[in-house]
This record gives sequence, C-alpha cells and structure tokens, in this order.
Amino acid sequence: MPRSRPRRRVILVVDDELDVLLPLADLLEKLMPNVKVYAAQSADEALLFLAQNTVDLVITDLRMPGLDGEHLLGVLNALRTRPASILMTGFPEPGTMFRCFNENRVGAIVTKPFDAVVMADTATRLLEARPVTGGVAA
Amino acid sequence: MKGPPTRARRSSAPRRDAASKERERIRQLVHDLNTPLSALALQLFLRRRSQADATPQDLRFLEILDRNVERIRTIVASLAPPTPAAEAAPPIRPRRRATSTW
Repeated sequence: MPRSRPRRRVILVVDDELDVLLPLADLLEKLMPNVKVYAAQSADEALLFLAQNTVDLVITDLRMPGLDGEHLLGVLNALRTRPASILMTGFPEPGTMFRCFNENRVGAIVTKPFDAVVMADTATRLLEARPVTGGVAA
Repeated sequence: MKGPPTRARRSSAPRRDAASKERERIRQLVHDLNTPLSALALQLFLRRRSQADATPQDLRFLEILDRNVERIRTIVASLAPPTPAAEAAPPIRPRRRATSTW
C-alpha cells in the first residue's frame, strides 16, 4: 500500500521590513524541502492567519510597530496547538532574551544580520522536534 | 553605600548618565543598521544561488557587494556596546593552578 505523503510543514514569517520579509520567505522555501512559507507584515496580520490555520513555526522580528514580536510570542503560548518560534532581533537585550526563553518559550533567538543557511538549519531543527498536526485552510 | 553624597559622587553622576545615554544611542544605532544589513545579505544569498547565468561582470559585482557587506558587518559588530549582563560580569582573573608548584 502506498504511504501517504507527509503534510507540508507551514512556516509563518513576520517582519514589518519588506526587504527582509520577502527574501527570507523566498529563501526558506528554497532551502527547506516540504515546507510552505507564508509572510505577514505585522503581528496583527500574523494573528489573523493563525486564527484560521495551523502553523508549525513562527519566525518573528522583535521590533515592529504596533504589537511587537515579544507580545506575539506571548499570544502564541495561548494557542491550543502552539507553534514553535524563532525571534529575530538586531540587538539582543539580555532582559528580552530571558523573558522570551523563560516566559514565552521561544525556540531560538537569531541575531540580525543572520546567515540564511543558519536560519534554515535552526528552523529545520525546531520543526523536526515537533509532531505533525493540522494544516492550512486556504 | 549610604550617607550624604560626597562631592566626588555628585560630580560623577552626570558623567555616568551621559555614558549610559551614549551606550543606549549606539545600541539603537547597531540595531537600526543590522536590519538593512540583513536585507542586503539575504538578497546577496539569493543572487548567489541563481548565478548560473551570471556574466563575469555580474560575478565581479556580487563579489564587491559581498566584500563590502562583510566589511560593514564587522564595523557594526565592533560598535556594539557590551550588554548590561556583560557589564555586570566580574572581571576575569587568572585561575590558580590546583596543584601548585610555587
């Protein structure tokens, strides 16, 4: 009997900087097999997407106008199927890092400017540690 | 340390404030420079992956961009002030050897 293909893993990248958001989403899809990457330009846009779809991994920038990355991570914790998460930041402050690791259970913090391969490796590692659940509605 | 502020302590407070503000300004600058640097580095990576049809001129252009992005990255990294945790860390002292032969 042929085995059914595993569901494509879903990554949501959140950054208000389009110049980072679009190439990063593009690169992750090129570097990671069997992954579908969606892009959101704000935390609010990300929350709308998360309300309708199951996401395996959220990669978010820390500093964004409106709801920032740290708050978005906090909201992720309240979801029934909490996605894994990576926080991107231009300058990691120890206090923020502590809160994100201990309170928001972020999987990794990646400092900008980052190597695309390092980001893809980190994302792969976090996805491998996570069981496959749900899917994308659209 | 308690008690009335001495003249030395009073005069060093504004200097500490100024140094702290300067550190914060540089921290902000490093943060703001790292975002456009990320955008450039990601675009370069994308271009490098699709360079099968690149002309020698394109390759030279990419090489120049690569080299200068790396140069700016090094400068920005050297600007970064120590984090508060690093500032608070005690100075490293040479450890005494367990089996002393002194």
